[in-house]
Amino acid sequence: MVNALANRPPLQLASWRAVVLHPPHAVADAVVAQLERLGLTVTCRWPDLQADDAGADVVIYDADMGHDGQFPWGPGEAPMPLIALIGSEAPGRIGWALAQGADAHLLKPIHSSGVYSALLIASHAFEAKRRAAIEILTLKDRLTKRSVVVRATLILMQAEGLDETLATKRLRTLAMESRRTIEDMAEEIVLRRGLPRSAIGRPGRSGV
Amino acid sequence: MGQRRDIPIGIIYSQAGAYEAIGRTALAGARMAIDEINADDSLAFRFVPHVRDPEGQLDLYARAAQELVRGEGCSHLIGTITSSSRKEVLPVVERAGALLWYAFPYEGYETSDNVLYLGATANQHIVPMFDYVLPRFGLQPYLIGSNYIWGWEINRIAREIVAAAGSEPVGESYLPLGDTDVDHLIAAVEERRPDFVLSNLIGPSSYAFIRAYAELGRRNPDFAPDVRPIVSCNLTEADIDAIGPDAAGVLSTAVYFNGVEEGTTDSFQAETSQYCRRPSQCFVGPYTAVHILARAIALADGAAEPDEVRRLATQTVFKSLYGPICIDPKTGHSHLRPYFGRVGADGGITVLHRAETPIAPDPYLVRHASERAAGPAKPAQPFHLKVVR
Repeated sequence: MVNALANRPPLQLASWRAVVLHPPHAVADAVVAQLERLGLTVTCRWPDLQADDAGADVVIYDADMGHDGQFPWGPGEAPMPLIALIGSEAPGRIGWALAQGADAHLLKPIHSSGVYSALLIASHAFEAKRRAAIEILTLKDRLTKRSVVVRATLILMQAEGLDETLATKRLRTLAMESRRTIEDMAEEIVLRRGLPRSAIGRPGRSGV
Repeated sequence: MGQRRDIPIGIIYSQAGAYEAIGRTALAGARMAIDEINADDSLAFRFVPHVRDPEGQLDLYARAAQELVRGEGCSHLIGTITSSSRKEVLPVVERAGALLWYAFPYEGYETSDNVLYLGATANQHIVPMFDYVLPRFGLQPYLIGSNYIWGWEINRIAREIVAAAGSEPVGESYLPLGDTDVDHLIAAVEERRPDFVLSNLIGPSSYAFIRAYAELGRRNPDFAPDVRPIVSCNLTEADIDAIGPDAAGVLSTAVYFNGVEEGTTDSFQAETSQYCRRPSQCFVGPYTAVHILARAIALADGAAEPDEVRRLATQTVFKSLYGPICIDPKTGHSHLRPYFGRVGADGGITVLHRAETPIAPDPYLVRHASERAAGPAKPAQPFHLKVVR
């Protein structure tokens, strides 16, 4: 998955809107200047983000003076990539920045190099995190449906006089033929307490 | 000896703002050392001080440092008190290849080739202080601090130490810098009844809290200072003078307390009276920094080139008012023997304990963490009472 992400086309930075959450300071000016050179549209905020900042493509936030309650979303729930601006490397501050869900960081003072790679790394990490979250949801869903699969297998064993291995094969074939997941097919079998109408009298390729 | 060469040195201490009392003391300490060096005809150079006052405003520090380095040609800066102001000066000295002499205790988590750190870092203040305090008063502190990095980080380290001992703080509160409305803090401490209070408040907030806590102790003997003391890593004689008798009973740690001077005569106290009411760590730190700078330059045959001065400063043991100092060449932080003492009714500090040997600096608390993991801390040392004025 990670390699697939790494090979995707470059970011369309010119269409990006960035929000810089930092007190007025040369550091904020340097970040804004560098982002504008990269073609982004930049808004500065302090001390709080505003509701419409949830639509930004990236938020770059101060880890030194930052505090809970500055963001219109909960810690770790940002809907876009986050980049922490770190001055003090005290663990308490880094811990706070991490709790917000930093996808990348930039060290103060800001240099002409670093901002572009931080954007790429943050965007990559955010996308990887998003995909992993979706995959975990899918897997959790499948896990909760495991009992349904067992019950559907039992129904098939009784209805068609199969042993467990053949009933499992039969379920897999039925799912494949109707282009659904095994879990969804099993759910339908359990709901109907038997084979779906479409499958009745149509033995699977398992030879039953 | 022929004409002495002038070496410009920059000094940045705020003479106004939330910590102006400390800034004035620090500037006085640097000035006294410069006067002593310039009066020493055996030296081939003289220091020409260029002083900048950023008035406690963070956005003025970088410009002040820039002026000193670029405008005045200073390759050595003595200065800054807070970590946030040091962070403002750091990029300037790093770009210019200059050397910043930082003489105050701080929370750690920084090293730079362009800074020498003469004050204590966390393993030389909060850690040994808790080693001393926890066995004597208990494992349940109330943590308070001014709302910035010093208070946040020292309290975080305190939480870790207490957690490693199997306990936790009974409360944690912060005051905005300069805020003196402490009634809610006093009420919270009275309600939670901690074993002691760790205060990382600074300036007027600290003074207001210590006065109000003394009042609480008079009203309710359960909060008398010998029962539930306030302990602090940043309370010095300069603060005590500002607070008055209510500071009595507060426990403090510092690398220098007034009166502990080693190898000096009474003339030191007499001379300092021209510069400040009485010297404290805030005075002696910058004073020592300027003297070490001068001795390193003398070792370099009068050359002030920062890399060479740093090299010599980190491979020499220097005498100081608080004993021999050596600066670790890797981290630029100093080996120090912190004192631990109690403020008396007359404002003097009684030394209760001193680290038996210099503590090697551990600015990222990496050795500390592994030592703690390896086993319980050594039992507390017995009292070593030594009264100093």
